[in-house]
Amino acid sequence: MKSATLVVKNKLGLHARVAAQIVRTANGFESEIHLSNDNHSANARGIMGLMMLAATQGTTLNLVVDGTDEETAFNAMKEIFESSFGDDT
Amino acid sequence: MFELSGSGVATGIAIGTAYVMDRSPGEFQMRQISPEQVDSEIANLDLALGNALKSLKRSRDEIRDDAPHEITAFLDAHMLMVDDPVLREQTRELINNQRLGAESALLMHRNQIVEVFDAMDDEYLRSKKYDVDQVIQQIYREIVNLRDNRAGWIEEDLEGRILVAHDLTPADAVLMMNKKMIAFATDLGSPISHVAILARSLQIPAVVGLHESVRYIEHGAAIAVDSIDGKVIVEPDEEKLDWLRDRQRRYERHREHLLVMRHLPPKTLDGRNISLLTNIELPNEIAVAQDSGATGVGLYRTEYLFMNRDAMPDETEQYESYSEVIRTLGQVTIRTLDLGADKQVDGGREQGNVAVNPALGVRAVRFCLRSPEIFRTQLRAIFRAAVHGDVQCMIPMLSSLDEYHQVVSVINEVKTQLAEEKLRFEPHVPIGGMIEVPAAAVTADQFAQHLDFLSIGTNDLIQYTLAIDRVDDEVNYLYDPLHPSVLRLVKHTIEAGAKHAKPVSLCGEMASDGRYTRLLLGMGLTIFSMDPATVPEVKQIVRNTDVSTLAQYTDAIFNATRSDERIELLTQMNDMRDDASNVNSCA
Repeated sequence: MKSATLVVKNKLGLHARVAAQIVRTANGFESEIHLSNDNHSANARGIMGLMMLAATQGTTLNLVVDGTDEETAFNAMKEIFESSFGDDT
Repeated sequence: MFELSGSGVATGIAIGTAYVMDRSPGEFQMRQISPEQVDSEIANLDLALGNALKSLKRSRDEIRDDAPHEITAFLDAHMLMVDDPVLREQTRELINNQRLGAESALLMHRNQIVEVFDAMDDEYLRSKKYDVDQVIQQIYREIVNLRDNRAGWIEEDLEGRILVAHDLTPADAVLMMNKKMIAFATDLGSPISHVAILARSLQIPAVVGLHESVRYIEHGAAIAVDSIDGKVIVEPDEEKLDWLRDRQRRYERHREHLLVMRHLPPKTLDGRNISLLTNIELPNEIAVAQDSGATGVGLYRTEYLFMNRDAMPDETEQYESYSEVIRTLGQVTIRTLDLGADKQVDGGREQGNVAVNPALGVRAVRFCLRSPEIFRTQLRAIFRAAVHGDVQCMIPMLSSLDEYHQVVSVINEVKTQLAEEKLRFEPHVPIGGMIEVPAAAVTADQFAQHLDFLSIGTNDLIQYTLAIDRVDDEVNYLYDPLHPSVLRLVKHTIEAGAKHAKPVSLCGEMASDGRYTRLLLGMGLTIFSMDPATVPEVKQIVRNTDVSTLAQYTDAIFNATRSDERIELLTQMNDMRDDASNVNSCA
């Protein structure tokens, strides 16, 4: 199991199109991937739960990845957060 | 009789009977079930989810590919929502633990979700509640349809009726079109919403933003949708009906007049010959293009062949498709694959490897140069099909001449290959490029020097120049075809073409929009490529325009620093000597 704290960097926060991108990324892996804040925990394969995190710009989320391909899945998730989901550029 | 006011978003007037689609859960009783029913309710839920997903997929497949990309993006997000494993799991749990019927469980879960959204501080994220709710209501309808053993409006004969709804999903709009409904009215929506854009492409009267139409209009009521004035008239009296019918007749005469225009030459009052071409993509558009009175195809999008399927089309299939279009329409500019960004090949959607900003990523010519097999196959098919008519080959999204030279070397290889294989092909196909990246527009003089022709793609050019994502509602308001930067880039490109004696066309939405016709003529544009449906209207304007009198207006628009000033000047320019080219004149 791997975990990390990630920051939502894009201006509009975790809206539908960004959430869709997280789901598509998560669906590429076998591992269970969860993102959570103090109030909610969301399965990264569920777009509605991700949107319900209400993660605005600057919010920190906990990433937990568990499974056979957790290493690559973990890196892929970190990467899309790092790149602000390409939402602002 | 009473009237509701909103925004008319398309053209014309429709008079008919209302089909009110009320989706609000309204007065709802939670339905309790017995333990024995749990399994069948869960099965119903699964079936409903499957149906909802299928109907979204169907809409996605049926949507005209020249429809705005936004609709595809909405549908994609909605599909992910229907397919959300958490939604499924939690609704199942409610059925199981609370002994609720599937539709009740879903609505209970919906309320939990809506509560979370309502509590959000961020207004933008909070507004996404409506997306989620639209999807859940759709699943809800599927469950109810299953339970009542009726397929709702999917099964009804709705030809000739007017749809009244709180909101319309893109999927509904596609279905409505297939049902041959004649108009629609919605509570939500604005002239720039996806539904409005779709109404225009369907060419049916529509009024949106009525706020309370579902509440005030009764199912089966006689209503009229007046898209010219943005009004819905409910139970019109005889006098009003006469007035509406008269107005409708005038409008239809006006349309017919435009259709008569089909066979008249697109020549300006001062004798300049203008070329009006069409943009096509779907096979069924061939006939529409043929009827439009256009003299050829300025943009044949080839993506359709590649989408909604698992495997790439082979050379023979492409050759046959291209040949059919060329044989039927004669003069055709084929654009090589513009995939990537919002258009993805289904078979090529690499899971877990999604570009973070597809509009700026590997798409169009970048994609083709990285996938030489796909590119060569397409080029072979194009060069072979080119023997059947007057064909040009157009490369999308060039940002530097290096890319063009790389394309040319691939083309040369392909030609050598075809010659060696002794296959019949046309070796002298003009090679041109889309000018849609600001980098290309700024250096259009260099492009004009090397390429055989240029075609300005204003949709992407505006998006890239103004740095706005057209799919993003939050920045949509900045989309401005009259922005001085855009006008200068377009003008520079037209002038670069003239200087090097290379044809320059414009194939973005600006060419389809009659409001910009005179401005573009004034800027020296002579080749317009547009939606087939808009050819008569644009031709009418061309025939009513004396280009030599436009300079004072174009200059003023170029010098105006405020957007409202530019719009005012554009209106003045369009009103000049305007005989019958706008709807108001026949009202």
